[in-house]
Amino acid sequence: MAFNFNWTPLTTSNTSSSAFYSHAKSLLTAALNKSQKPPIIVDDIFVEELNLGQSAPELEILEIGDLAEDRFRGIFRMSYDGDAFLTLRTKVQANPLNTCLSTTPSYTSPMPLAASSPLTIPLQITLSQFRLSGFIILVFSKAKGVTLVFRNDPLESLKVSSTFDTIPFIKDYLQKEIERQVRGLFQEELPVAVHRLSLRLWNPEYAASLGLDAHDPDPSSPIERSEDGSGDDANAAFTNPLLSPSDNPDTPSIVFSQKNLAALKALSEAQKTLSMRTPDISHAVFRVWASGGGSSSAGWERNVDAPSTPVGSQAYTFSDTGEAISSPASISSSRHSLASSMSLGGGASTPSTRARGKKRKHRVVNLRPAKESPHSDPAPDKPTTVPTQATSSSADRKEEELPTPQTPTSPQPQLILSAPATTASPFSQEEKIIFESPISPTSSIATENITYPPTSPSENRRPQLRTGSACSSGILEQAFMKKLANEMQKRIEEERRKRGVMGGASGKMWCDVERELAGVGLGIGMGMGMGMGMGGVGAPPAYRQ
Amino acid sequence: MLTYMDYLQNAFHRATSWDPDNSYVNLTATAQALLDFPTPRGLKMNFSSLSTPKFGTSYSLSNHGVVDGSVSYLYSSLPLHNVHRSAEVDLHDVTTGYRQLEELRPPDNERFWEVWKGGVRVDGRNSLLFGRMYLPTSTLEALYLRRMKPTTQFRITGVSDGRLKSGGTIMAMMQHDFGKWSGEYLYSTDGALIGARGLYNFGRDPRKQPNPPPRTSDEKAVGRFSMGAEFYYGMLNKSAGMSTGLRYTTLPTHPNAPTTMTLTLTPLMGSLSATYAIKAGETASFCSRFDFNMYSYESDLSLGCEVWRREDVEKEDFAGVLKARVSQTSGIGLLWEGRLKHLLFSVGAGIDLRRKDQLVRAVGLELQYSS
Repeated sequence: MAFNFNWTPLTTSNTSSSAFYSHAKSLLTAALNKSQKPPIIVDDIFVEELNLGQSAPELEILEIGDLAEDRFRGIFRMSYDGDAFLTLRTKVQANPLNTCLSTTPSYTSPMPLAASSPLTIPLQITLSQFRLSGFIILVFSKAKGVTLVFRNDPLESLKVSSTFDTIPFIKDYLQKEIERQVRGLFQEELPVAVHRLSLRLWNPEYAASLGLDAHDPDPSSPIERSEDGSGDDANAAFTNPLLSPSDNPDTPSIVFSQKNLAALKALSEAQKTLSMRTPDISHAVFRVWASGGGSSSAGWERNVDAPSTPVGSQAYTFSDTGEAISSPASISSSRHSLASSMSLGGGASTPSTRARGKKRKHRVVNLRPAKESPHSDPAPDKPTTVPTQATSSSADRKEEELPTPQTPTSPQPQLILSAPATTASPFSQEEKIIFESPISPTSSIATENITYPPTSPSENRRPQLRTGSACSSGILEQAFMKKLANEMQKRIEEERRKRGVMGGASGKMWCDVERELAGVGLGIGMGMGMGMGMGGVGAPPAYRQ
Repeated sequence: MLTYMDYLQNAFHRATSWDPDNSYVNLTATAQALLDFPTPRGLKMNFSSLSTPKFGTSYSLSNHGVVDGSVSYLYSSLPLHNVHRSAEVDLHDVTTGYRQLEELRPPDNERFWEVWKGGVRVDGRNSLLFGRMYLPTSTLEALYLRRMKPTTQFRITGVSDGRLKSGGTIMAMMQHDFGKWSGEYLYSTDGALIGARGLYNFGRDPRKQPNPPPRTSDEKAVGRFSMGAEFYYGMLNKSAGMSTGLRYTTLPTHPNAPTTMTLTLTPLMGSLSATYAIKAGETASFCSRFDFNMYSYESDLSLGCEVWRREDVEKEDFAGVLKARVSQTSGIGLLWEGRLKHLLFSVGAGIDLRRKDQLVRAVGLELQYSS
């Protein structure tokens, strides 16, 4: 699944973009001058020009490991190949001896007569042709803030041109040095900055220690959005409304019911002691069950992961807990937790189910396309795919508001819908981010690969779908999905039109309406999709009611 | 105003007949004294004493926003009998101003330094030890000075400070002065910097002609032309620097007003600096300096003067000196140094006309008492 950034407001030369650029420039200038500069820089650093270019970065969700009101964990792939550029202006000290002696105490300085006389040279550096490609691991928890890590070095290449381009030595030096700095920025400073900022936003204690208002930055302010494109794509976390508490004022914080706690306590004590009786927690699925079918999951992995790009397989080396997964069993466990993710949309009507099942339920929604990505393999029915646009009005949809699917028998096609829906709901607060439903061939491939590893107690209830055998049903699903998506689109458009007629109707109301609608569509799609995909096969344990 | 410890070190140089002026570093000493004099900041008090002719202490307390101070000790193996109390010291010795260069002296014959006692040579080499601890920063400055030969002096300076990169730096310097020429070779641990500088005096060689020839005619100007250069190379950070300079100065026998002209060039960095200083009578000196960089076209013009005030016209007794300078880049500086009873004082201010909001940048008063 990919994000579609609405980049045009930044590229058009209207007043709002110029205001945004001037604001961004001033912020960047302040940030560059805040820290202590090396002695070779003898003047303030000014941002002369800043342009985010015509094309937006590409951000793709590879995996969502955990998703709840107060936490999120996911792996993204980000790539950028645009024409953004940044021009800085400052003055540098050209006399190396002056720079060298400026740090030495005067008492031991050799006190040159004139050899250290300063020579300041204006320097202009232009950074352009950013080529970024990286994997972002984003972990959010309301208590611990946002942790954002670049798994690899995101900077592929960068062109540095400066006043000294005619001198190859200085040119090479600047190129090397600035590349090193930018790498450090992405891999070290940016994660720290994001983490601090998130702490300031969500941790009132930390904010109080800074003497700041905990909620002062507006998550949708233009500058923060801009940082997505200027290479700091990781800053998208700032604008992620999922992470913004102010958007969901009525979101309950982590609440454990006493009943659940008691059940969990009994369970944990049962394992600590020799008690023969293990309390049965209904509507719960355990990973141990899932990891039983190692052989089938290994086969699954061979089928899917072997042909995938090395980049893609790298994404699989992470479990949703962040540790590297080496054994197929644990992979299958994370695959299996896919099943539990299906309860996001459907099973959410019984919220207690989730709380009771496990203390911390891991849901993995794998959206990573297989090798046959739409870029390499033009889909035959691509043009007919209607994007399901989840606009800002469908924001903060809550799981509780979704209707219960009638027969949650199969999770299979639901993935296509539920994935954009579940992720779209938090993200869609961002008006500029428009979510498209995934291109059908890829997504269908991805979904068909779902395997429920058989476990000994309930093997007959566990469906096993293999890539090869699922082709026909995939086409069916596609057709259904398209239809469904069309339907939803139509309804949303209708509502929009109505809203346009009404004009002054309050936005909040329409938000609710659209959310409701989307929820209905989702629920229907889920239920029907499950019914189609799985037929009479029994539901996985997660759906046992 | 020189600190008491600088005054003692100058006294040591005088006592060991070392001429600091015959060094490339002090080629522009006159212009620096008249144009780059520091103005005091805040309130600073110094209490010093030479408790024995060999041992001096100094305590200083200053307050510019924060209160800090320093404690200094100095030991000289040679008794310093040429040191005076603040009540009776010549103000010329504790202030810097127009530097009138004397005729070059030949270095002492090494034989004269030898002391024999019972067939055994017992003379030692005079040395000076100095340490200063700044509080509360706990920065320690240390100096070891050893007069090794009549033409040689060895000097080690060190700073210990936890805030420095490797906890401190040390610089060692070997200085030679043969009268006709002088050279200094130094090594600093900060960036493994090595350096060399030398000064060559044209004209009479004092080693061959110990006494200046008697003046035959008044038309012939009596002056000294000197030329020098310096080179530095930081081995760790691969940074190099060099400069070269010329100086012409009139000698005391010159019939006209004492004049000093210098020209320094930094060829690599394209900077050029020319100074002209004249001592107009006993009580006033004027100096101008023009700086220009041929790469960046940056230029600066500085003007400065010092005016002495006599306490008693009859006697050669001065009450104080007023120094003023004006420069395009660093603004105006004013300094009044004098003596009040037993106290030496120095009042100064720095004024920056370009910044209207903060016209007076630094105002300060420094008091010195020594016994």
